[in-house]
Amino acid sequence: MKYFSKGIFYKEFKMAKWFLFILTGELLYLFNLSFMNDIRIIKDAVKKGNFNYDSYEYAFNLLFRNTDTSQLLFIISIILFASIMVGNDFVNKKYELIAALPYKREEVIITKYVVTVIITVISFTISFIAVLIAFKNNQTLLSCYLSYGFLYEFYFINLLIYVFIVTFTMLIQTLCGKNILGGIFSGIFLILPLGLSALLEEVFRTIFFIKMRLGNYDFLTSIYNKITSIAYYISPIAYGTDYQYQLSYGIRVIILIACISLLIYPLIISFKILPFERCGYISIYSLGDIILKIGISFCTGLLAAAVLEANLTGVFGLYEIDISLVQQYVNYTIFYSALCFIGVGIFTYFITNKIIKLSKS
Amino acid sequence: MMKRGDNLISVINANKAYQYKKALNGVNLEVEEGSIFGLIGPNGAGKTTLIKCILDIYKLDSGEIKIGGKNIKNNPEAKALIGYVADENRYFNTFKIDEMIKLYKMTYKNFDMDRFNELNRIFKLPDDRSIGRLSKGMKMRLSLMLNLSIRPKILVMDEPTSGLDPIARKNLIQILLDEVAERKTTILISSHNLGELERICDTVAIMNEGEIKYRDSLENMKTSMKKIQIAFNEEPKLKIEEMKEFRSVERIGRVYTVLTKDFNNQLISKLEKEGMVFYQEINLTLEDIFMCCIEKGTGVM
Repeated sequence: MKYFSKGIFYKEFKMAKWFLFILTGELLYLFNLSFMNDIRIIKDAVKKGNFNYDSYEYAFNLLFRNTDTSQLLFIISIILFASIMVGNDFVNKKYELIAALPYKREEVIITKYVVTVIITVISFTISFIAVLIAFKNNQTLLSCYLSYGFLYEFYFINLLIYVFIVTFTMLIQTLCGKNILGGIFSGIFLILPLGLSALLEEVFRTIFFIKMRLGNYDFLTSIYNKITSIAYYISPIAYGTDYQYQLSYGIRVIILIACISLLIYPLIISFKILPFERCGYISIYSLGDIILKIGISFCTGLLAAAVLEANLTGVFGLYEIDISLVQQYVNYTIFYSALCFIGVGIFTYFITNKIIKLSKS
Repeated sequence: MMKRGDNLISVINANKAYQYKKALNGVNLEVEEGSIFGLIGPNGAGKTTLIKCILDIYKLDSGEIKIGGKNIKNNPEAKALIGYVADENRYFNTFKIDEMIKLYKMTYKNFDMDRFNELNRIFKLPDDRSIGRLSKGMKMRLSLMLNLSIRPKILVMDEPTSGLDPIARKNLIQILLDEVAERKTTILISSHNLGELERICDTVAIMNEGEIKYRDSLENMKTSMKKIQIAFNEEPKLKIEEMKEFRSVERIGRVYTVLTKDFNNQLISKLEKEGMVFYQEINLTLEDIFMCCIEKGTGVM
């Protein structure tokens, strides 16, 4: 069976080649330039005789062991890119032309996927080769911070993360009938566990506060830490960071490869059965409507409650008032936050429902 | 091996529903090889949906569509037999015309550049211009040229003359007639321009509310159906509009224009008793049949 088509490759690559320039340029400008700048500063320091190892460790950790702004922007860009590669054909019903051409739908989506992955891999590889060259030329200077082994590990895990993001985004875009919207949803889903754990932290803060003032803080801290670690475990997007809760390198690689492999099949099937007449809908399937309505309402409610709770903590002066009044004001805070969660949640549900219906009319 | 007269397109009990509407309701249709088949109907009748299902752009909820005996569903071999000229051509705006040609060459092994050049001598398109800068009519010309150059066995066209000037329309009709005469290409056209369809189609199907209300050759239609003008010297006692022999009645004063299948001596005597002083058979058009079919809301024949 044929899975790759020259014609579709030509059509997709013609559009995608611009992304190759954009993505590569973005990485070279933001990541590589930042790396080169760090090297230059260290060189200057060595020249002046005031080099101090600790002063520069942070910069390299930020670049290679955390999600640096440049990497974050690159992730946003590849989410947009992957989303556009599927969703662009939904604009002005261009899918009609593709669908009428003598190709199997599997061929179309596999070719789109291959082009997207190739462009992503090439752009990241170009940037990495530039890093390697810079490292080779300054090996003596940088060997206390970096090594070839570490750099290859960095390259490989991040490459897998980017391919995972591309696969996930393309899958979500085949479930959304509007261009780019799939990218927005996919971005939200990718950071959802981390975002929810951060929001829960805000909401739990009041309860933490009571317990902290009443003296039972460790127990809740351990619960929250557990939630955070689970959030990291189930967020492959964060596997490139050197976080305290992180899994071992090998396990992260295995999980990423497994996730990519498991997502490819649903991506192909989802595109194969995609009812093109529903392009333009926010969500192609009714199950997606339900998930969207409930998910958006829950998250917005939680966000509103967290914001209100953070403000009320200040308004009630919980950090200053007498310990005998704390319980009463904490109860108020929890009550109003819960009310806000329910109210905003219900309001958002109706608004989302209306928007989804409008997209179908 | 298909012979002339075999069904090249077979639609078998096709059903398709959108969220709030049934677009195709048990449609059965057969189009013979080498025929020019007209698909007509009011807006929202389901013509475009049927065409998109024939092209496998939309999937049927139930039923089957066969092209040259093969199920069209996700079948590149069957799709390769079809050229599709859409009502609004959704080509990629960043592509230049020569890049579209390259895409078609990579896609259709039968693509004939000589044929494209030959058609371009008639339609005159610049090959270095990007699609985004072409007018609606130019896009339509390009679509026609590309889809005729793939040497299709079936050419499916949805409102192909929209956006074309009268000269281009005339050229198109001649090209289509030549295509059928020389290559026995089967053509399925959906259009609201009934006059043009009447000139070129040999068979017509009328669609309404997701159903084929009527399907026959134009020749049969015109022999089985008559359009008669009848004049009375005074108001007839019988209500002409309610006579079951007439499928459609239009009245201006005491002159009636009727569509009927049963204009025989018995009916003439009946009308003479009512005071008919004059009758005359006038030219029946596709528009008359269409109006009659749609206004009655059922298959009238």
